[in-house]
Amino acid sequence: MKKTHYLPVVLLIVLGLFLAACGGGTAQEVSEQPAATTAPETAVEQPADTEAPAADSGSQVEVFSWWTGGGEAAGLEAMIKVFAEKYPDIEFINAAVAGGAGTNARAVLATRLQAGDAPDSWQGHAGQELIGTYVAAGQLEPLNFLYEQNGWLDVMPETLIPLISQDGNIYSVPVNIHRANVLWANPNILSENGLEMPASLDEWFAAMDTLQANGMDAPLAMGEQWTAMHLFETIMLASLGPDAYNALWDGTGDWSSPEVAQALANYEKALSYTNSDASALSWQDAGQLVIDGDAAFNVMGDWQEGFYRELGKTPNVDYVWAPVPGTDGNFQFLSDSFVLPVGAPHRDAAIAWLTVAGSKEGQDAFNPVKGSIPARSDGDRALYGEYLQSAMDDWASNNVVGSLTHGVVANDSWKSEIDTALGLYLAGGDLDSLQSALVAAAGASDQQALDSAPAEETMADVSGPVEVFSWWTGGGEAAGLEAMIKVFAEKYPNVEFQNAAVAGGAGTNARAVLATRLQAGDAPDSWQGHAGQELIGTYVAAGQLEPLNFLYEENGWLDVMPETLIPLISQDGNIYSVPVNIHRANVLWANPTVLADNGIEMPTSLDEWFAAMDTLQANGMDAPLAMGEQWTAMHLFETILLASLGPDAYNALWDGTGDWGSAEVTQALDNYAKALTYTNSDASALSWQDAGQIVLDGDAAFNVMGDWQEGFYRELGSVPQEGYTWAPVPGTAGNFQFLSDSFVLPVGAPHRDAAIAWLTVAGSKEGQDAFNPVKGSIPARSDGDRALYGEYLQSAMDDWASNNVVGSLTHGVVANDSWKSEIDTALGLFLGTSDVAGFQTALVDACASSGPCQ
Amino acid sequence: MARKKLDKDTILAIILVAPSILAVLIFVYGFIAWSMRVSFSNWVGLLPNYEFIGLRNYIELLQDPRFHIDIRNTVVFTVLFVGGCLFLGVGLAILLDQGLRGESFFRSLFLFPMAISFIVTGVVWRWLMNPAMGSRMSGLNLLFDSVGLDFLVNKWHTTPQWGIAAIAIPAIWQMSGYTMALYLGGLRAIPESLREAARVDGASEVQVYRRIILPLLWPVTLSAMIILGHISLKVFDLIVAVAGKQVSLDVPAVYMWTTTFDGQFYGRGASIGILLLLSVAVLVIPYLYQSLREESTS
Amino acid sequence: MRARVADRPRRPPTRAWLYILLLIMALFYLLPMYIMLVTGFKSFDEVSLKTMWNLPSGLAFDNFVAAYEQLAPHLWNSLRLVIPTAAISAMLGSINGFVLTRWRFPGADIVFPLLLFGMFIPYQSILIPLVQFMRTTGLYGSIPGLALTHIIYGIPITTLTFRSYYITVPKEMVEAARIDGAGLLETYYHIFLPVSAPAFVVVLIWQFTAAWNDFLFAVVLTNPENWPITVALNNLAGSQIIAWNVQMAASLVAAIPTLIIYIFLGRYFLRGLMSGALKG
Repeated sequence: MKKTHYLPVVLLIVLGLFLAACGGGTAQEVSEQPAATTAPETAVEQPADTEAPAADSGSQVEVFSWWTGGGEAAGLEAMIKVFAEKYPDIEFINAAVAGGAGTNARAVLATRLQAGDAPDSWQGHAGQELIGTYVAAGQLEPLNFLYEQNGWLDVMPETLIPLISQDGNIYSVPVNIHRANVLWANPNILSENGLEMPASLDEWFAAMDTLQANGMDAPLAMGEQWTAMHLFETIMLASLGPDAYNALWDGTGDWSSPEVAQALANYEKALSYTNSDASALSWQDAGQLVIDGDAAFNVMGDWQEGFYRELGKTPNVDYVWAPVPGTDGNFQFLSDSFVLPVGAPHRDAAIAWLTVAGSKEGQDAFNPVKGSIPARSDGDRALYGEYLQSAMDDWASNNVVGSLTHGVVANDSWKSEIDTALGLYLAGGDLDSLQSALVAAAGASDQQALDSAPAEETMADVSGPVEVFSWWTGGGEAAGLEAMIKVFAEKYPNVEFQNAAVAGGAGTNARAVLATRLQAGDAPDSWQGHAGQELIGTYVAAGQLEPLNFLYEENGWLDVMPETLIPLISQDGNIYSVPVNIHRANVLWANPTVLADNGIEMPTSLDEWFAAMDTLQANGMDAPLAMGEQWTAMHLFETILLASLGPDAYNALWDGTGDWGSAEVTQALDNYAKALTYTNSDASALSWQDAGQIVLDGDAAFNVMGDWQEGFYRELGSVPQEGYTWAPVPGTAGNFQFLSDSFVLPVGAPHRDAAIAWLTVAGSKEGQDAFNPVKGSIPARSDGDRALYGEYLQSAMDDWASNNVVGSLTHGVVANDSWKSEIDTALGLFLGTSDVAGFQTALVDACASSGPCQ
Repeated sequence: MARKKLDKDTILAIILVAPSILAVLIFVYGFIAWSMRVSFSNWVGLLPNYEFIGLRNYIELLQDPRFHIDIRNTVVFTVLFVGGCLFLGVGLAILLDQGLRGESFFRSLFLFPMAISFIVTGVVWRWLMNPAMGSRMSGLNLLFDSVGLDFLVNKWHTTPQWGIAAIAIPAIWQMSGYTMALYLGGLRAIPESLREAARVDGASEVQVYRRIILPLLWPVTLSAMIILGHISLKVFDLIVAVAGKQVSLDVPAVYMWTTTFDGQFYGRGASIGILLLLSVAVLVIPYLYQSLREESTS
Repeated sequence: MRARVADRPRRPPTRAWLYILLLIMALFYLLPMYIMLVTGFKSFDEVSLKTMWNLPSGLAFDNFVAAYEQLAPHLWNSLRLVIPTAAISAMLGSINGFVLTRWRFPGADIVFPLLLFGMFIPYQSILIPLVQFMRTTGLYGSIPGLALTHIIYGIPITTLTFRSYYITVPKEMVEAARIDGAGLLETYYHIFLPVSAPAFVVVLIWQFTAAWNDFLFAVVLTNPENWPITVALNNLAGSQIIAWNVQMAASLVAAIPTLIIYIFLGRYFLRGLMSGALKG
């Protein structure tokens, strides 16, 4: 019995070891682990590159990839070395996980992301694999700023950028490029059988028929299932051509078409030439068959060249290559790229890594070792071998299409459905069921594309009514609203839309109704308001609105709304409204015929403008400047204020840093008074439309109004540049004085979910592109579809993107309601008295009593 | 007095097993509950989405031709793998129990396959079971051919319909050693006196094993079946290593992995997991419960 | 030991057949290992399907050296993981098996099948809640967290194994001990533990191997600095070109500790025999 006593003793010792392992663990690893992290000793002495953005010293960056072996690992090491030289203070943690072309790695990554433990950056195939999966889930930060800072847009191929972008945002930094559509062949077999490299599918099939007749059973070597998918994508491209191939992936093509059936028949024919043991072979084994002369051909990506070279084979002697027959001139590519996750633990360090990954140095360190070409077009050719140089030439000159197998054209879900369909076919299915499975997969992926927009995913089952309050009751506004409601009804079929629109003078009546309802505790679910101080100074100050930052984050709106706009709709970092459209206030409308008749050009400065109107008056036109009721006078006032002061002084007046009593303001008021002398005497009796009509009729030459007038003119059947012309109000060129309609979420909305659903549509590309072309405004989002907009709006979109943005007074951007109403009062008095000094004093008082001038 | 002592020990017994039970409750049943929730949801893509869609995932799976292949492959694989391991395991154990020279060497040799990671042994078997014929013949086929065993040359896992059977061979190769160890342990626990008594009664050596030893090894067989069965249902890395991911050799575990992590169909992946568990519950648990009761009452 | 062999009546021709059978079986187990060993010594361009049976052109240890350099940093991680895992699992299994076999408590009939059922849970489908659990408990990324996972998911199999051994211990012995006034722990220590050696061997082999060769939990639950050897082994392969010669060499290197354990533990099969004889 005694000899068995030591067993529990041993167990106890082991338990002690375990506890020791728990306790001493972390201290141990640091010293134990020199190999896992790159040693930056040599780099420390090296001065950090000047362009390197400062990152916290002693910081670290964990980068996730599946480059663990062979040339890939060596390439990564080379790039890490470049990184260590530039950023000696950042510790690089190489979290590479190998396995089956990234399958294991992706599972680990997905699990870590689910658990909220994102690495600082990770590798992924550029294209839908990243966009369809991570961008759709809102996990990635757009990298446009990096591209701008580093000038990468100039060195990355133009064709590549759209493939790594979504809604105008670039989401990854591609490091390398591989070509998928390469046909490898054994030159000795070809010459023995009197064959040339085939240039078309028919030639290729004929050549393989010859080889079979000469006793080679399987002239086309293939490996396991993914290599069958690789063959599939190249033959699809060869059969359909690049346009139809691309159409299949962007949803405009038809998977059930006879052309696709023909392509699948070609695929079946190609498979008939393959070896029967394909599923038992890796791609390397299949490549080996060609080298050994057991097969003549093999379709594989250009990484096979690296494999052949490692076997000690000589290009053009032991193997030759060409584009897959029928795909000449097309470069079917795949690319590895790195991303920046939202909430990266060490964002600065991650950006440093991405900067290196996108740099010429980094890519020229990585690619020659990995055996790929750089994603940048300015790689140093001398570093690359014969094949890679030819690939660089092709990449620069060919038509670029994406690979399916390697994640460019389809998202993960779609690809896995196609994989299953192909697998079932290879396991003994027939072509018809393959095609119908492919059709079904494409259909399912459309469904997912809808599902994957996160807000919609959670909101699609929202039901009940939603009451939305606006002042869009007529004309283009009402039609635009209807168009957007239609989009809403498609997305949320269970929500009943209650259009609580109340008409009235730029929303004046509507706002009164709204105020009453709010006082009575009968708030609608959402209402329209002018983006800016009108909403912030009024409703936000009263605590009536919920911040909407969560919506902006969920939907990625921060990336698509102009940066200048966000501060104007925010208070203390909280965003309170969803802008739907943008209008320009500082537009001068003119009648080209009147101008030509009087030998006048569109004026570019206030003085020119006044001189022109003097001429017109001299020629017998009493009131060359058409104006309407009082708010249009305020509209004229704000544009002339901007023209006289310039944007900085103008803005300063509104943020409290400027002095309303200054001599400059006096000068501006004088200009305004002068402008008023050219206006029609019946102004106060006219609506803005009446005033616009006067210009169109040739009874006045000019009119200052917002760009909604363009929609009005078009509705009257007038033709731009013939019936009317436009320019920025003289002296305000280069400035975009804007206003924006937006919707809000009130605190305690009766149907909050439905209201959020409405806001989601109002902020979406679809919603805005439905509304704005009809209303005659430009979308607040910067990614609107230009093709939908007319000539004027396209020019406005350009100006919006390039001009200096300032806010409108009349339309609620720069001043809160009470300040604006005091200004309105002062202005009304001035219109009667023409007392500039009194007007100025009133303005100074208004700013002190209701504005920021304390 | 004795009664009271027993009670104290019963409490002690419960305290001793309580941590295990608690851990299993959380890590197994808690996580199963989570999986069920996901399996009833429409979760596609990275963002969790627990929107309840009832049995839709299950219904779609049962209509999915790929899943039909999976079920068939799992049944074939399980029968061959468990049967093969038990047969080889008990055979090797009896062989080693004969007191032959070099017993410890052979015992370690038979166990050794288990020590090597599947990542690589899978590839070795892929080479060994290369189905190419004619001039490209290699692997076991080449070996058979050169030693005159031509009739053994076959297409291995590329055989239509029955390819999955070939995958059982490397699995048996790896796990039969462990089955042997289980049986060997069981054999060593059987008192020598029992065998002696039988021999004295005039039983032949074969009869001793058939009548005395094998029935006594039944509890070991049962636990071996359970252990091998759970491996067989979860076999994943072996199949991927030998055959890559191809639909004709697909099993539920591979489908679950690829659909979840390659395809982002989290709801569907969880449904496959739950279906696997349910099939185990329906087939194994009643039988298991019955035999365990019989065992402990006998 | 030898004495026992001599006791038995043997017919010599049968024994010769037994050896032949044993050798044939050994061949079956050795063939793949031959391929691994031979390939491990080959250079990259020598590795191909056609020449897999050929001997390497020279006896170069480059692959083994390269493999060892990659794996060495992770060897200690694996040991820190595997030794406590196997030992604690074995202890838990032994106690559970004992209690559930011979010291019954109310509901014990239900508990055991429930424990067993847990074995069939597909690990791939519970990775996400597992990682979340480890993160909330702060064990994520560490070796103890991974060890805990292996121990918990090892409970069913270890309990089952011990139970199927303890069930063969005659009831009369337990009754006798009870009548002598032995409590729970005394019965376990004096009657069950001494005959447990073969069961411990089987369970230790299982848990040691399972934890040593596990890739799934390791790659998901540990951070790079705590990666055990399997993750490093797997990482030898890139996603595109795989150098099989280094892979084979590396997996042989990685298997050495397990092999040593098998040989070391094998001795206890013999001890089990002795105690079995003692019992009889």
